[in-house]
Amino acid sequence: MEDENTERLDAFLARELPQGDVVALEAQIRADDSLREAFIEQSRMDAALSSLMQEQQGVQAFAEGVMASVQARPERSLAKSVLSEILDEREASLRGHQPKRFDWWVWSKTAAIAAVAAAVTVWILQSVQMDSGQEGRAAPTPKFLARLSAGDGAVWGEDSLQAREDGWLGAGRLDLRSGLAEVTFGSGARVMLEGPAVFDLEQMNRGFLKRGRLTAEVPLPASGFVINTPLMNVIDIGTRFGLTVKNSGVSEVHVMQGLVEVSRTRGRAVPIVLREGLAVLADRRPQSRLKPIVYAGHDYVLPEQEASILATSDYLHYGFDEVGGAEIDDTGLGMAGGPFDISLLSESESGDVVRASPKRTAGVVGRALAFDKGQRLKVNSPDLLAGGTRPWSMALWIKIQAKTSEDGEQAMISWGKEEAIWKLGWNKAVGAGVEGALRADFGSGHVVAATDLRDGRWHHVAIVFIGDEGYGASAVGNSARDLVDVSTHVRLYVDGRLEALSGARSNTVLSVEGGSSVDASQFYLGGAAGFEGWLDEFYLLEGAAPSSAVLELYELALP
Amino acid sequence: MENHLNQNDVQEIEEDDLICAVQAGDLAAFEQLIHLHSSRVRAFVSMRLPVSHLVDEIAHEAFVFAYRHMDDFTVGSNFGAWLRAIANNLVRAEVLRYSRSVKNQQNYLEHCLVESSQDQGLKPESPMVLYLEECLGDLPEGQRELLQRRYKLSESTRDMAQGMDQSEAWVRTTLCRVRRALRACVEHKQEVSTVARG
Repeated sequence: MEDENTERLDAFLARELPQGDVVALEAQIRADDSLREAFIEQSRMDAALSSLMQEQQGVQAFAEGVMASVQARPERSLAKSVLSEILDEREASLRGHQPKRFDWWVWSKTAAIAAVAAAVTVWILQSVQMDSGQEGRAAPTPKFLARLSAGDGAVWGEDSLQAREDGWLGAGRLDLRSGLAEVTFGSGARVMLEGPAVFDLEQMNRGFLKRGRLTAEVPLPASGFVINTPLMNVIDIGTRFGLTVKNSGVSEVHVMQGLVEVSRTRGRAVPIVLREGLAVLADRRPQSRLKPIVYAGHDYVLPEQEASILATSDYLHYGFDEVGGAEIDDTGLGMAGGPFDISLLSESESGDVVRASPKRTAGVVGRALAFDKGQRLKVNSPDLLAGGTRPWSMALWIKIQAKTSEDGEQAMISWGKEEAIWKLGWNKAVGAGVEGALRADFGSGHVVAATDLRDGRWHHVAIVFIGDEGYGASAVGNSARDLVDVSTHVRLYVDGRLEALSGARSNTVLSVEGGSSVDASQFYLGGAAGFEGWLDEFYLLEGAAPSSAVLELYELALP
Repeated sequence: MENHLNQNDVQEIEEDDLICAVQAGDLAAFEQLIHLHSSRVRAFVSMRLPVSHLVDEIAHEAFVFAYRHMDDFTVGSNFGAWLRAIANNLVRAEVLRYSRSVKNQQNYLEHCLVESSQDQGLKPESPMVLYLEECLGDLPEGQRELLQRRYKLSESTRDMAQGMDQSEAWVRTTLCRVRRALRACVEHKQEVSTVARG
């Protein structure tokens, strides 16, 4: 009996114990103190040996992951130097200079700053390791930082930054003369501007209010959202605050919900943390401190409640929840040409009809599909994916084991052919970015996120292609149509949070107008050669979904 | 009289140079420090909290924290112990966070491992990982090969059994015995060290 238990323990540690036996082992461990002790001790030694004896490749991947975080999340303890950096960058951009860059890592400056007391995660989007894909090309900078998501009677100044037809905005200055305008940042933070107001979009998670009033509402994944004013720096740690900047630059902040860290930009710059119901003012006197004032948060206009993406967008959806049968139903809504049901029966190479696993298995919600090497599903594709640069979004849950076969497929979804192939999957290439992280390829170009997904747990991933639909000559800082590039027009999300990029390689996405298009009569779940892992709750949506929609899809499956 | 430096001395000198370089703003030097210490930090975290996905997360955050606070570190003191102290604090915080979530308690086996870390006596100043490395070095060749196959080459039990011309049951039970022996060896070294310190 003892040997049997010993064998089971080792099989469990080696992840070789069938699920049914895991349940039995768990029951035994619950009932037997000495077995529980053995389980704990064996687990400790097993984990320690795994760490100590890990191959160099694993050590390298770990080091790369840490380096990506170190560079994507700048040092917080040096608050003043970080803030100085922001100001330096602003001055440099006013003088038309680019901020200083490191040799091979390209830094955009601080977009968000981390925690004061609680563990608040912060990121900036643009610490990108560039592959030498296209000589002479600068490191990619996202073309679109935010989206004009709503407005009520907004009147804009002549020189104000203009949005694309679908509302996307690049970096620049919004000059709202009157009315209300709501801006949703790439990070998911939302700002309601009350005109007259002058507001600069600086980063995916950072803005500068020169004058006027705004209310900021910040969901958890966007914690660390920063608004600077001429006299004040405000970092959201909680969820909602109002900010007013007078023409003189005098600034006041009112915390409506959660926590906010506030500091002056000059003089006594020591940050303080304000909680709900408190307000402070920063005046122009150089040695002055932040001064408490009467709270007036109720005077600010709140951002509107957002409509569900599933109520406002056409979409395709596979829940994979069928109990049996050879069909997987598209339970989406409104996607032209649909429904796009999938058959689990497919042709083998010899032309015979065979049951093509993937197998049904337990999923995040109901059932999921488990793919093994060589397994994939062919889907008759909506026109959306053939549209070259037409925007689309995909979201799904995936689970990848820590160990996969070396020659296995990294793409979990693919379509197109020859030079125009889209592949969405995870990164296997050493040196292209963090190994195991979410990756999107178009032809020779790619972007790689920063979170290693290979941990045997479910993760929600989303890939948003901003494309160029409605992109006009008058749009965002361009006199002519911009090239759509995979390294600048794709956003990657993991577990509802916009990911920093650990690697990118430039490649122009073919446009229909350019005389070619992506061959997308079919797309493949499981990639071209068969992804090794689990897929669940797949959504394909029309248009470039905002961060809030990605968060919504993520939260749909949470208990 | 000639001074001879042993390998540890050389590593410490190299390490001090790297730390100075990081403090002066050299990011590449920090990557080298990660290479020097990541296995041991992860092993330390593993012994404190043997939940694989938490091990990587905590070790990762420990290095990020260390980088951010590099200016607080005094060159010449024990960098490895400093990293372990950071990791230890993160383990404590994670255990607290974990135990607050009812959802986490549904996974009983993982819950057991997390719970056990609360009453575990491993201190960051204890060189348990070093002892483990020494114990590994003392293992007979056959047992070392077994561990290499499992942990370095990630072979399945079936492959190990075939490669070593043994049964799968033998592989599993022997691995358990070797791990138990390693634990006893580490504890013995710790006791001897405690006695020697008086």
